[in-house]
Amino acid sequence: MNPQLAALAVHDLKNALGALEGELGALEAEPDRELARAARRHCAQLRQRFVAFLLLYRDSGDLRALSSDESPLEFLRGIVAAAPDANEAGASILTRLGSCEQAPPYWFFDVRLLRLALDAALHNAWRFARSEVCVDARMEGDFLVISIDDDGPGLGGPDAVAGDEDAASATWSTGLGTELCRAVARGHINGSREGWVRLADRPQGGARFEIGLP
Amino acid sequence: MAIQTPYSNIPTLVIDDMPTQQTTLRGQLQMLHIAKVDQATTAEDAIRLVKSKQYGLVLCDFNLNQKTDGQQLLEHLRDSGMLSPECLFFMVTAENTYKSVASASEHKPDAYLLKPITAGDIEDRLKALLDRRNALLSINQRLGKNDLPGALAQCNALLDKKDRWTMQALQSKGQTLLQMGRHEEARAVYEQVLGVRAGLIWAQLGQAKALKAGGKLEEAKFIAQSIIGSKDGEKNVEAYDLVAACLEAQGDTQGALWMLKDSAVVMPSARRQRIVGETAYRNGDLETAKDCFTRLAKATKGAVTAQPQDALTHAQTLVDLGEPAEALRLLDAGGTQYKNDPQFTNVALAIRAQAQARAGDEAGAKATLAKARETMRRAKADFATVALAKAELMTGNEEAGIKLLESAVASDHENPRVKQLISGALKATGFEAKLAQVVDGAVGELNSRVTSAKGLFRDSRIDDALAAIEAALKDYPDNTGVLLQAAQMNCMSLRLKKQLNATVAERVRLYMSRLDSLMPGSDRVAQMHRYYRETLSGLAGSTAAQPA
Repeated sequence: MNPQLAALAVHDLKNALGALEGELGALEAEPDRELARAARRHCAQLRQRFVAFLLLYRDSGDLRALSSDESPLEFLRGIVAAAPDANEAGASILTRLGSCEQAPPYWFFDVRLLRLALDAALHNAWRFARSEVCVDARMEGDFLVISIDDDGPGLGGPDAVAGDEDAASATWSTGLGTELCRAVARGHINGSREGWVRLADRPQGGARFEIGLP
Repeated sequence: MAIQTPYSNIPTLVIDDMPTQQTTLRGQLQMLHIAKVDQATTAEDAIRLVKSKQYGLVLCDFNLNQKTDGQQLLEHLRDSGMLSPECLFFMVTAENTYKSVASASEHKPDAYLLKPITAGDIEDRLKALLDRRNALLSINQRLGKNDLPGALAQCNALLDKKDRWTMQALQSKGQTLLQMGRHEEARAVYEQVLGVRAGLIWAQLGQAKALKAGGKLEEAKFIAQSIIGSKDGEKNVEAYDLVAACLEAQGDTQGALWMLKDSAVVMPSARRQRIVGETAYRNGDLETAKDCFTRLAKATKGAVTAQPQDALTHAQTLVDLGEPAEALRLLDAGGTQYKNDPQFTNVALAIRAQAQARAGDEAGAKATLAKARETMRRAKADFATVALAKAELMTGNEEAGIKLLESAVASDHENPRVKQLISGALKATGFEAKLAQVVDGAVGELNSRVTSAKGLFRDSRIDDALAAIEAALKDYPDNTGVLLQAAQMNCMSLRLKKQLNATVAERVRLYMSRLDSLMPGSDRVAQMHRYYRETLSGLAGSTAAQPA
C-alpha cells in the first residue's frame, strides 16, 4: 500500500474517532437516545473503515474474491435498507434503490468484499450528496454494473480547500475508498476479464460511481 | 409479549471460551429476538449439548483456546452426523485469521462472521441462508427420503422459474443425476453451467465425477488436475481425492498415495493425515504411515477429533516396522483413553499379542491371543480380523491365521483394499508365499457358487438361481460382489417374469441400502440403483404391489 495513502487513511480514521469522541462527550453531559443511536451508527461506520483499511493494507495487489452466485437485487436491497437517514454532517439524505430492471437474477461476486467496497463508495456519496443517493444495477456486456449516483457537486466540486485539513481529509478519504473499490473490483476475475471501477460526473449534476464485475 | 421474528424460534448454541464474547453474541442474538440460546465454553460441552438437543443455529468461535479449534469441532460434528443437515453453523473468526481459516477447510461452515460482529451481520447471513433453504426445500425433502426422481423433478421445476436459484438448482440436479447413475446427463448439466461461468470449481468437479462414473478415468483425472492447477482450486481436496480415486481404480495405488500426500500438504488437517496414513499402511509404505499417525496423534492429543482406530493402525504400523516396545506403549495409552470402547479393546488385544510375539514374549503373546480370540465375533473383511490373523500367524498358528485371512477375503472378495491389507499381513508375518493360496482358496469357492447361480439363471431355473445366490449371501452378508450380483439377478428375474413382485423388489431395496452403506459413493452401486429403478419403472402398473 502506498505509504502516503496509508498515512492519510490513519489521519482520516483519527478524525473520525475525534468526531465520535465529541459525540460521546455530548452524551456524557446529557444522555440522549437519538444521539446515542447516531454515535453507535458512526462507530459501526468507523469500524467498517478500519476493516477496509486493514484489508487494503494486508492484501493490496493480491486480493482475490471468493465468489458465489448471489442475487444482485437482494444484495442491494440489504445495503439500501441499512443506509442511515442522515450523513455525518447531519444532513438528511434519502438512499433509494433504482429499478434494477436490467439486473440479472443472479451473478457471481464475493458478498463480503463487495459490501466493503460499496460501503466505502456510499460513505463518499453520502458525504457529498445534497439530498439523495441512488443505487442501481444493470448488465453492460458481460459485466454486472452496480452504480451509485449522488446529487452533490460532482467530482470537480470544491471539496478540498487549501489549508483546511478536514476538507483535505475528505478528499483523501475518497481516495482511500476508491483504492479499496479498485482492489475489490480487480479481485473479481472471470477468465481473462477483470473487474473495474469508474468515476464520472453525471450530466444532470452530481457524481456517479460504478463498479463492473465480470 | 415477546416480539416474533422469522428467527425467534431457532434453537441456538453459542460456543466461545471467552465470557465477554459469549455475552456479546447473546446480546446480538437477543436483538434478533432469538431467545432460545444455550452456551458452551469448550468443545466437549458443545458436543454434550449437540447430542442432547437439536439446534437450528450454532455460532462457534474458531479459536476456542483449547485442544480443539472451531474447524476441528465442525468437522467432528459433521463427520459423526451429530448435527442435523438443517442446522446452520456460523464460524466466528478474527479478521486477520479469516483468510487462512476460510481457505483451509474441508467442511465449510455455512457462513463466516468476522469480529466484531453485529446483529445485522448475523441477520444478513441468516436471511440469505434461510431464503436458500426455503427455495431448495422441496428438492432436499425428496433427497432426504431418497426419492431421487422426485428430487430431479423439483430441480427442473425450480429451473423453469429462471430465478435467482438457477445455479443452486443446477448444482442439485447434477448431484442427483450422479446419484441416480445417469452420469451422461449429469455431465451435460455441468457443461451447461460451465458454459455460463467457465472455471466454476463445483461444476468442474461435477464434470470430473461424471466422467469417472462413466469410466473415463483419464479425462476425469485431467479435469481434476486442472482444478488443482488453478488459483481457485489449488486447495480443493476433493479434486485431489478424485485424482487419487482414478489412479486407484487404474491400479496405481502408489500414485494415489502420492496424490493424497500432496493433499495433506495443502491442507494439513488431522482428517487428511488419517486418510494418507491409512492409505500408506494399506500400500505397505510403513514409514509414511508411521509419520502420518505420529503427526495425527500430536494434532489430536486430547482433542475430540482423536479416534480409536488411529491408535490401532499406528500401533499395528509400529509392530510391522519391528518396533514392538513403542507399539505396546501406544496400546497402553490407548487402553486408558478408550477403556470404554469394546472395539478398541478387542483389536488392541490382537495387536498386543503381535507386539509381544515380536518382542520375544511367547507366553505373554499366547495368553493375550487367547483373550483376543474370545472377543472375536464373525470374521469380516476388516482391520480387526486381519490383526487377529496376524497374531495367529506370529504365534505359530499358521492354519488358524490363514483360515481367518481366507474368511476376510471371502467376506468381500472384490474389494481391492481388503486384498491389499491381506497381502500386507502375509508379508509382515513372513507368509508372503501364501498369498495366492489365501486369495484363490477364498475366492474359488465363492466364484463357483456365483457361477453356479448364474448357470441356473441361464437355464431359466430362475427361482433356483435366486435361492443359490441368496444362500451365498447368507454366508457372506457383507460381500459387495455377491450383493451386487444378488441385486442384479433379482432385478433380472422381475424383468423376465414381467411382474412387479413386491417381495423381490423389497429384497433388492434392502440389498441396495446395504451396498450404500458398504460402498458409499460407489459408481458401481449408482449403476445398480439405476438398473433397479429402471426395472421398477418398466414394470409399473403390472401389479398394485409397490416396494416401499
